[in-house]
Amino acid sequence: MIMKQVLALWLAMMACIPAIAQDRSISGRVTDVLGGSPLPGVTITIKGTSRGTVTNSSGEYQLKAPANGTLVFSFVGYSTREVAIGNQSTINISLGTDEKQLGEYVVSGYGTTQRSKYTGSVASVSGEKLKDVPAATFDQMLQGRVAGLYSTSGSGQPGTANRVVIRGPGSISGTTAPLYIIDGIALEGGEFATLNAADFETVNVYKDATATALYGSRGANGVIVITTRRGKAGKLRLGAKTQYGWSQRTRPKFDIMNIDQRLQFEEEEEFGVGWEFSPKNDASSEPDKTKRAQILDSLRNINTDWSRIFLRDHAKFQEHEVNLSGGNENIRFYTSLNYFNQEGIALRSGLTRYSFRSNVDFKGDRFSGAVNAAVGYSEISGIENENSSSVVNTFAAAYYGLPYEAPYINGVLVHSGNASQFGGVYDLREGSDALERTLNTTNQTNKLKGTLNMNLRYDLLKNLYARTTMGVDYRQHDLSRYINPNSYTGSQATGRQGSYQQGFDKYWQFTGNYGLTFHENKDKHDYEASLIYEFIRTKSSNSTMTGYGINGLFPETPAGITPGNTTNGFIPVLGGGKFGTALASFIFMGRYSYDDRYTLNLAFRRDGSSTVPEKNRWHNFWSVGGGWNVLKEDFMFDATEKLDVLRLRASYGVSATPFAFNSTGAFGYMATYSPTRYAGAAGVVPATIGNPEYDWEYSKQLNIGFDVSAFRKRVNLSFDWYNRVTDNLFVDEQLSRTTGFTVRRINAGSVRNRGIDVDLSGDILRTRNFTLYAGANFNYNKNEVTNLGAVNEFEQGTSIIRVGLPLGSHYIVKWAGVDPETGRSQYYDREGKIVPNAQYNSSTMSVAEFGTFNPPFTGGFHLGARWKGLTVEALFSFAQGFKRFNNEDFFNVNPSFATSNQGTDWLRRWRKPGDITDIPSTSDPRRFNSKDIQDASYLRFRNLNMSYDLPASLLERTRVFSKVQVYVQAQNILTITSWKGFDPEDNNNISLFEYPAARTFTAGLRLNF
Amino acid sequence: MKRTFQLVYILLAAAILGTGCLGDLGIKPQDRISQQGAFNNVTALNIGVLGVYAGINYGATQYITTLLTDEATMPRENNTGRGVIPWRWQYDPGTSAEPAAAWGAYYDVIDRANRVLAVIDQVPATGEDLITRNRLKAELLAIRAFSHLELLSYYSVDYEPASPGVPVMTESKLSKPPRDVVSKVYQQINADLVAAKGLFPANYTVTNRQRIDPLVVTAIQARASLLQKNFDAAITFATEVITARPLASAAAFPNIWTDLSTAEVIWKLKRDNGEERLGVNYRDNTGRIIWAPSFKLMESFDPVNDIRFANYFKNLGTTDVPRWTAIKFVGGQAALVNLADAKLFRTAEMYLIRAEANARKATPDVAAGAADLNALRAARITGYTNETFPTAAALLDAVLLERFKELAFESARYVDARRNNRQINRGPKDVALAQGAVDLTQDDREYWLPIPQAEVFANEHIAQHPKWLQ
Repeated sequence: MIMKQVLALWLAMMACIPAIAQDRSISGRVTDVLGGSPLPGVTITIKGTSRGTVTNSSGEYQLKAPANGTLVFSFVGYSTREVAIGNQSTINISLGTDEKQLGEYVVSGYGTTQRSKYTGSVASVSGEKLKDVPAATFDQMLQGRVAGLYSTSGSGQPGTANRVVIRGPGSISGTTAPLYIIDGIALEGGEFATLNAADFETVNVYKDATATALYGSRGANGVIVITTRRGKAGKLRLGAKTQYGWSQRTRPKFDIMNIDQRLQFEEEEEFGVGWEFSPKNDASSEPDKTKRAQILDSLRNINTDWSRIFLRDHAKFQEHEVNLSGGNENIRFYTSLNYFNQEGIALRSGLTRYSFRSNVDFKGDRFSGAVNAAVGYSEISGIENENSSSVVNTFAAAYYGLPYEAPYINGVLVHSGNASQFGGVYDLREGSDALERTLNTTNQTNKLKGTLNMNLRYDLLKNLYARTTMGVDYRQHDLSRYINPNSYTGSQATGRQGSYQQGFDKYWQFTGNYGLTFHENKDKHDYEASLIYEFIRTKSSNSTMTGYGINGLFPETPAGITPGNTTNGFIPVLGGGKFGTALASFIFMGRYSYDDRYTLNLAFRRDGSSTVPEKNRWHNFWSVGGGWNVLKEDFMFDATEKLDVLRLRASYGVSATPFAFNSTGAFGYMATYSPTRYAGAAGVVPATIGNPEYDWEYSKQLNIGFDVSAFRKRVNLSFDWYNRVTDNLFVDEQLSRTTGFTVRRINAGSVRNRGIDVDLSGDILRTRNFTLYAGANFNYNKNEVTNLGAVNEFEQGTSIIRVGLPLGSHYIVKWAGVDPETGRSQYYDREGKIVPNAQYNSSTMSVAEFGTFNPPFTGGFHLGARWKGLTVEALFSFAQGFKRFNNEDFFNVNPSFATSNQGTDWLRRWRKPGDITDIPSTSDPRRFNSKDIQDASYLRFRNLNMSYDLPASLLERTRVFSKVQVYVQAQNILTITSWKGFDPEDNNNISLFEYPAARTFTAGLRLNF
Repeated sequence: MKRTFQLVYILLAAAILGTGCLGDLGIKPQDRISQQGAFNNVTALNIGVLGVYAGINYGATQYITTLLTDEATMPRENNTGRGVIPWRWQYDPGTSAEPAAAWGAYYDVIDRANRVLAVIDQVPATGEDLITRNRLKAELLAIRAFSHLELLSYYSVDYEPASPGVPVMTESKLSKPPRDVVSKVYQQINADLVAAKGLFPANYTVTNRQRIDPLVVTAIQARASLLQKNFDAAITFATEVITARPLASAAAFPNIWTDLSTAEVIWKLKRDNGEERLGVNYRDNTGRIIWAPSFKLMESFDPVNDIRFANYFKNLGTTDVPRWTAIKFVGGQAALVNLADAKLFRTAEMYLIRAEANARKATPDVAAGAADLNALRAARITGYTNETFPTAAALLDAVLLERFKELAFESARYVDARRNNRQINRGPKDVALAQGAVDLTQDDREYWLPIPQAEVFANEHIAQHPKWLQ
């Protein structure tokens, strides 16, 4: 039987006998289901053949087709419809923009597959969802969109990359970020600020082994595949978009002391001016009590709100875009220009981007292909020392600055450097010094990024084609940092006259793959097999120079640097480095479908990488997937009335976690020396301890799922259960310091991520003019370390990695409240016994009872309504069941930092024996303890978008516009959380005065001509 | 048939293209070199030895000594939180970095030295090269001995020969060593120093004092002998150094601290821009005083006649509202404030070693000890008149007080207390912000530096200090 089929296949391949049937002439018009405007450029093919045509500018078409055939109408962004010809000669249809339908085809880096014949777990996000979001990086826009994809922002600084984790972290030391592919070539992760997401047609998120094994040693964390917009044949289409808006801070909830609370606190604790000039202070330096009262009165009038000084209320936003597309059947193009400008809510921070893309597709007889080029340039201005407890961090200074510290006297900023000229001040100038630094320094990163790639396909035979993709992803950072020589900050620099730092950081990645694909669709058999060779080479280099003795006449340029000599202290500091990696792979991809009912997907990949020692250099990865379209079975015939799709899927395979892209990740196996110096002469020091057994972390994933659509696709449900086990896990073996190192990376452990992805969407109400729709996605992920090799656990500061616990578990001494008799903190030892503060010992008392910072429950949901041209959609996202270390409280309610402003928590502190409170007396030293581990679960109203499309009837009369849309939206509207810090959302376990996410409002106009 | 050929061509082309690229997988690091075969000649060896010098972290011992003892007090303007927990004796083995810093730094140095020592004898050398190779080996042995001495001084349970000391490392390897007994550490220190001395060329002297020469080895021997209570040896070695390198004159003394003079400097570590700035722990680069000299320390000086006072302390405020700061490590370059060379051994210490040895040896020689103490004071104090001491105990008290003064902020005070079984007592004017950290006795666990928690986690054979287990 099988032999017969194979024989038939070969015969078919050799003979290529075309089917002959009677053709008839068919014509018609294709319109938009919404508004009824004509759709030019819709592709119409005769099912099962390559014959077809495209609609003209009026949406009309004409072709010859056999009467027993079926016409397939497809248009990117719209649902594909099939119509049996029968005896019709005119077929008029309308297509709907339904983003659910975008998933009909799935595009991987190595080809395109019909979704019904794909056995993997994939989620698609339509470019429609991304194009207007006022965020600079597209990974932020994925928040709450895909089940099992957890994207979190670590900073509200425009242009900052998110932490993206798919189905839980599967590595301790390696990267947990997914692999990014754009139009077939690898894209550097975390570098999206210069990409314009409005150019994206779809973003497909691949989560299981069907796709990840295909990417072998890079795929274990999932793969995000981006396809960019293509031109459509037909008339030239010009589009323009403009939007304006502003950002503001979200929670102006600074629970720190105001002036009255501060002065009272100082008076009661007998320090600072509040005590110095208190009527109760008999030892005051000012004996005159009336004068003291006057001084305190004038201080009360100051009441500086530092958050108002450091943060902007209306940070401006604007974006403008022009795009042009068109072409004929042989050549199509899409080109766009975009300008994006977003101010951050912190003083000085912002991003300006210019991006350009040009995609050209061409098609000959046997030859077809595409050339895609994108260039982006962005200028990012950052704040000082973000994410640190340093007093010069804008967000820390906003907390630390005292309310009786007035920054300006007669318009002059009074800081530690000039305070004595004003007769001295009563405070430590924490706010003013930070402000002085902000005003006299720059922190600029200019990013240039280009992706250039070419896809070619040559049809050798009817069923065999050769293909190649080659491309380069290039990125360059140009960092500059200037410190004004004529400033207090400049006087602290080496040489005491400011500094100018310039750095370059370059990244270059070449992807080339070359392959042959055989495909055959005959009778009930549908085969496809590809053999591909791929080579990827990366190179990275960076250099930095810092010059001193800045000539104040030449600010913000290296020209202002004074050359150093032995006496002036201006000797510049230089540094830099370079490294690279290479990966060669042989790939086999196979698919077989029988009767649209049963599908088998196979992938095999052999990877050779420069990042592992030669003995482990080559490794095989593979996956097997099976799919069953239950609805196609005869016994389901009755169900087809209600069900549109019922598909079961299962897959299993192996992939590996890529190494971090840095020189340690690239050569982690090697014992090396790196350069140093002593007394002006070159030296070397051991840099890495090396490990000759170094190997990849292998991830094995089983995925079982199903897709259901019912009631003419009004309800759609996808469900997946997965079990991903990472073996050979890199564990940082803790070393005795006598070895000269603290850790050595060995492949010893295992971690498991097991959970479910659920994606449910549908139309709740669907009438002629009105649609109410909703969707939700949800992921539950149980992460557990199952093995750590020779050890059971190892501590990492206030975190622990322990067998049986999830990654990211907190590890800290448990707080036992304040002793009402002494006012001192008490802690639990490991036996649960309460011990006094003096016996605190983190090394013998820490416990891991406080959960993890990786949320087990994540997801998002949206709700929308369409009435004629009006659309309203709201998006929510959530993360539940996780805790983070709030280090802000450690500084804000800490007697060691009482000279800085402090939290109002102090107002309820212990004062006398018998007081029952959770805040100890000020003489009680603050230690790291479980009080700082706080629930960071949140539900965020992320986006609200309202748009109105002018009716087609009106537009037709203008004869100019084919689409006019106005819209308003709000981003990050509301957050429900019990978290006490700035922002519950973060990319790591600890909160340390990070830049919180802003709330943004925009209004825009879109015109298509 | 034609098509079949076409297919074969394509496959062939792909195969050739493929294999052509495969050769590229052997990417080598560019910022690093493999340790294997890194040192194949004497020049390369010297580069390795410089890397060992680069690792010596003077700030680690200097800072923890300042924080734990009565040298410093916390000014209100220290709003940075830096060092506050150790200074208040609220640290534990896990949470504070300062008590653990010297452990890591000196074992790194020992490991670096051992890596070079493992191959040094195989590096081909004849004639001049051989002399250089021997000298480099001597330097490595001396650094290894010095590092073991520092580790023992700070982290051993105590200094009795049979007590648990610190692990002795004589080769670079992956191991989990237990504490060796103190006597074994002493033996290794002494053996390395003797071996080092024998390898130096005759009359070898480093004029800029930035690397080790035979006199440095003698100075290390003097300090090591005092710790071992080998007082006669301490006297012999100290005498050798004192003879070779006299005390600085009153005129030269200020220049020691600005690095303009190497008078009485036996060994110092050169510090360049971009390296550790020893002054930042006292007053940071923004001008904020982090740790101020204690009033107890300042008031022990004669501020007018003692030249040390003006060279060690400065009032940045007014008489009414003083802001005292330690300026010993501010350095000599106004443009590079706080950048100063790390003076590891000075002749003054040799006088004090000899005086202490004379006071503590089985048959004390109070006169000889007093003579050394008076000689040092006379060099520092204008119009000084010699003092006599009724007993050896009185002499020892005076010597320890003089060490407190002379060697302030030079990593002496903490080990001095431990060597002589003394408490740490802070002055009443120095404890306003101490939250009760006034007296630290040998009964308090914080008196004894613990083995860092990271070491205990990694190395189950190492025993924590017993005081930390109570």
